[in-house]
Amino acid sequence: MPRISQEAKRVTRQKILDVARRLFRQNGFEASTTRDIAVAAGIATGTVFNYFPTKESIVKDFVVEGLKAARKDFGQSRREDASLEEDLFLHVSTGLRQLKKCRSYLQPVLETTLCPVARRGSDEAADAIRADHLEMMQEIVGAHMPGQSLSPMAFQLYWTLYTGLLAFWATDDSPKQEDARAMLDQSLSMFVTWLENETQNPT
Amino acid sequence: MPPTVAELLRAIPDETVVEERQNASEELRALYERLEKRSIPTGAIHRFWKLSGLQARIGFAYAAYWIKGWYQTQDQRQADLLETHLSAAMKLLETMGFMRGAVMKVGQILASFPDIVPDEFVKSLGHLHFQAPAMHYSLIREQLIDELGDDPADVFSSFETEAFAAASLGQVHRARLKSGEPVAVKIQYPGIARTIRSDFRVLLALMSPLRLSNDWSNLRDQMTEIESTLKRETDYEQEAEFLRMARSLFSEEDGVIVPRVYDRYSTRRVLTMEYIDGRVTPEFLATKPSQELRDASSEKIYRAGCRLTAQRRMYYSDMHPGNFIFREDGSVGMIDFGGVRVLDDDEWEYLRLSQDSRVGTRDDVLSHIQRSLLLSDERMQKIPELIDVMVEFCDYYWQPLRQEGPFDFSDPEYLRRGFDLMARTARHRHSRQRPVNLYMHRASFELAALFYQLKSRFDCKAIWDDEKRATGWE
Repeated sequence: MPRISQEAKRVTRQKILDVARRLFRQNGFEASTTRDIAVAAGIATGTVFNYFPTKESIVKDFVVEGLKAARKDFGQSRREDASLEEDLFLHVSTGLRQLKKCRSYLQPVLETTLCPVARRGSDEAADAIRADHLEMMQEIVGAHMPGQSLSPMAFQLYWTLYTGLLAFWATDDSPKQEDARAMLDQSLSMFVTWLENETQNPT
Repeated sequence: MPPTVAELLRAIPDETVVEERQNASEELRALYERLEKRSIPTGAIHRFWKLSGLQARIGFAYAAYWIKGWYQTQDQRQADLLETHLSAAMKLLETMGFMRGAVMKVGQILASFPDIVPDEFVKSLGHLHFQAPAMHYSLIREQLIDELGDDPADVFSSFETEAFAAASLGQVHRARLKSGEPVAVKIQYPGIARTIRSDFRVLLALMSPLRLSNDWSNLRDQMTEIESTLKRETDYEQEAEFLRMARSLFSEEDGVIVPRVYDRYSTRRVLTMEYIDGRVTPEFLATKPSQELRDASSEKIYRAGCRLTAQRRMYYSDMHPGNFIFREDGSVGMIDFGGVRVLDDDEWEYLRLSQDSRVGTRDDVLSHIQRSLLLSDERMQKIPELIDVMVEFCDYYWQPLRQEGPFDFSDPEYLRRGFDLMARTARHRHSRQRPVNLYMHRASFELAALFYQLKSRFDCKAIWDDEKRATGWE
């Protein structure tokens, strides 16, 4: 049996993702089965499972790709004289803009991967998403507060705020999710104030 | 600790005390001392004094006098019954973080409550904000990407990342279009419109125990008026329409500049206008303009207001010092039309009839009061003290328009009378009135306060008559 080339694997994988995105958008996440995706992609259902064991793992891939693109956007849009709050806001908001395409079916990923109580070590992709995001957050804080290290509480507080905001945003039906934007602004303002206070008066 | 006389005096616009005005200042001081002897809860009031801005100070002075006016012996049980509900309502008002000009509006609400104002209310007032939170550039950028479809760096040829002015529920940035025109881009804080809507729904629900009162329907109408005003301020498309309507009324000769709107770069939450160069009111006053210039500028502003009303039924209100731009060539820019109110047919008729009352007999004035307060003939007979105060109020309100020749707005006696009358009116606790009165009276007081700051003297009657004649109103 001829071996499938890496390139062919990449093409198949991308086809599955493109079809899944279309079906999720058209029919909704719950209504779209793995079989539907396989049929629309012209491949066997078993083949889909080889690449993605669950539908949720497809969405997780969207999130990973989206946040990767967001990191690039963030780097390009970041301003030299921006404040800490501004940089943290830009970091999160570029992510939201990339994730907007899959907002309507983000819920499953929010319940497992991007959630305050997600168990670490059980899902490599989930851990990578969290680690990447927090690493960038730490870098941003470090650039504005050199020499200050973030406490475990700071990380946990930030992650709770971020995942809480994501959960709100995913179901926010206000025009252009403006309520979520206001919440992001005010929660980051609160976090930065807390952080600055912690730095000056460590508990 | 009650406020000191010095702190209360700071409620009056900054003034240079000149010798011939010392008597008026002494009278003001005596008035405040009399009021100071009555104890008032002032923890929140102290915080208010720190707020800058003429409108905030004048507005709060009105509210403070209204509050004092409520203090009298009450059935404690009745007072206790209302305290919980009203306290909750005021705590809700605390969360209305985005209401501009909130003190004037709250003062109007308080004046409509039919009973004593508990200490809790006034403490809650201290947490009211006057503007939306400041937006950093990342947030501005997100708003503009959503509203205009692209990064501001790509939409405009240049865009200043720092705001140069605060605005109705947002802030203003200078920019330049790719075609070269300098513009002012007003951007609204996200989510405000919905916040106002939901807050008022809850506020009305909290006030529902008052629905058993005779005046509930009218009270609700007044609350609706206030809510409508706030909602109008969140709709920049409506404001753009007002700007277009107003701009068409003035030529270069009038010396009044209303900025052009750039529709392509404007939406419900973003308003891009022609940038008008010049000085806002405090900066203008800092140049120590001559009396002649101050009078001429005030005349232009007053004439503009009259023309907007006479020709377009528009009331220009909710003013703050940043609304007017005083230019090198003597012209005046009017830039914020967020607080404009257009009178409907019924309100227009009411205004028209009030013009007859202004120049008529005492009976005509009484007819106006009856229309204004929505009183039956029978009720009019039962409240002679209130009617007398209202006659005085009308005399005060119409004084500039009755005077032949220039009216001197620089006289602090005129403002002092206004304060006094507001307090005396509030003490009668009559809440029923045409909702549009809130708007008209506020506009009138704001203008008086502005012209007091400008220390101007000009012939209001001649200007108003002239503008009415031009429309064929008479």
